[in-house]
Amino acid sequence: MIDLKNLTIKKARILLDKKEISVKDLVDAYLKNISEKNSDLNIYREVYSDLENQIDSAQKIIDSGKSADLTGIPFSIKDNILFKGKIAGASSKILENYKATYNSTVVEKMLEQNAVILGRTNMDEFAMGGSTENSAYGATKNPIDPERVPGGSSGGSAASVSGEMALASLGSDTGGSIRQPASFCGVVGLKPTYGSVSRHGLIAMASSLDVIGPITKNVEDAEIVFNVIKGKDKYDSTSIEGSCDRQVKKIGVPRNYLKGLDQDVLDNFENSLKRLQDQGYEIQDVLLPNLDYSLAVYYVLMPAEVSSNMARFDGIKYGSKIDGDKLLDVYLKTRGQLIGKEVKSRIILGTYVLSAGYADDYYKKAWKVRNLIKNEIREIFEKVDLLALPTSPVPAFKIGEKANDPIQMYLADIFTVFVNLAGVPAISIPDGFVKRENSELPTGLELIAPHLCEQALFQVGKKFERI
Amino acid sequence: MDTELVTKLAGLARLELEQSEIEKMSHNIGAILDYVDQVKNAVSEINDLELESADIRNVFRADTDLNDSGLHTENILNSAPEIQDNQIKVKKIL
Repeated sequence: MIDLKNLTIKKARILLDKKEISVKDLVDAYLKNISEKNSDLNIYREVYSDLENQIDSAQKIIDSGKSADLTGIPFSIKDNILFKGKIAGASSKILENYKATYNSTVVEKMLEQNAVILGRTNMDEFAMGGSTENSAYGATKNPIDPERVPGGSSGGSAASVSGEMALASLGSDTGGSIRQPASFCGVVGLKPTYGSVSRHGLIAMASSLDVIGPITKNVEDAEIVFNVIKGKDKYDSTSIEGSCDRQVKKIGVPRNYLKGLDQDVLDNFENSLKRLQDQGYEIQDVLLPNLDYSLAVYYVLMPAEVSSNMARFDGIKYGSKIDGDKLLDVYLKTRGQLIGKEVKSRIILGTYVLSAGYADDYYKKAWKVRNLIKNEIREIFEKVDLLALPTSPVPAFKIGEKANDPIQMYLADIFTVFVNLAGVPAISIPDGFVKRENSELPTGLELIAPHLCEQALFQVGKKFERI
Repeated sequence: MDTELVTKLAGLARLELEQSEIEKMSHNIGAILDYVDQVKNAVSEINDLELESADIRNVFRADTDLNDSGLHTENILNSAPEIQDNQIKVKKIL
């Protein structure tokens, strides 16, 4: 019997290499949990039926003594990451039967190491949402409290790791979609520097903000996965390479921005700051006045990019189609009937902010304020080495609780979106629990670093979670 | 945002919406626009040109074949909902 609860990639590597367990034992342990829990929790959209080949080739590599970090490690991937020959549906009806014709670069890199990809996980349709309630295939339930959401949009990915249905997962983060669900599910989520992980083969949401990253049990595992998937890629011209060598001493806290959060979430955060201080880090208040605009900027730029990216789904080139009398009817009906309401709403909003007469007031103005935020973040990292905030102002909320109030839903991203606007890396690390009714719900500490300084996040994160 | 504007934008975005959807969107998008209106108040002291050009540049690849002709044709055609004689089939537009 494998102790999945305390298993990490590092520990599994040792067990596999010492032949104490086989790849099949490990995969079967996860498949057993999936078969017991998935019909209730709705975490996986699909578990692949041909895992035997992946298991056999991983075991052969291990038997030959040539295993790499991820050889035989069971992963789940978000439903918007392409795996050749498998359906990648972005949890949308319009892509219900779309089979990937090529591998995303991240999948290619995982397969090179013979990681085992168990299946694809539920998400908010096209990654638009913060609760996984916007999936066309029903909400995912939080394994910690099934009446509550797992966060989103990578809710299925975070829940699969939290519920011991995969040892690690890949998600995507446009405004907090890795960090917030990681925080809601009590696991670690890394949003890498924009461009440090190739977006080739990621179904695009907002191309200037999207990034793929790992969701794992601890910080060390996030580091292991990040080191495998990162790097410059000829198929993504925005991909970059590089690192930074920053010994963290000072951690800044933008207190002017700590508003509107639950008191016990704030208490956990203050306690985390004390823990960091006890470890010798200097905690310093910093002023970042333009952060107040970040959510508004995000809700102009993101829908603008969404409306452009979603134009490719027309019922002609791929995916599903609803027939009509004329070509225009095919477009109108296919898009009108097969795209969900949140996505349609963002397309309309994006179309509006880009339209003649409004683009100057909204899109161009927001682009300028984004640059102000970028500059402000760049300058603050000349004074402090990291920034710290709670990942989310609230713990996991109940399914349906915010579904009819878009602004309340969007406000849950208040501490994460500016990180995407600035393009810098951030990690969410479990830092305590708060009580809601009969549940102990996890909260997360968000640490934010300068461009390409993931190393600084791992350095502090590993020390932080050790206590 | 009134229902007329939502209808017009939906047409531009090629989305056929039901009346109930249009009404709900008109309300929700209105609320979002009220919220994002604050970007108009943000004061920009940095000169506009500097902002426009910061960090952004076009990246081009050489105009050469990335792969052998026809390598992906079958795969890509098979992704389309309707094909005929090695071509993607669409409605007549003329």
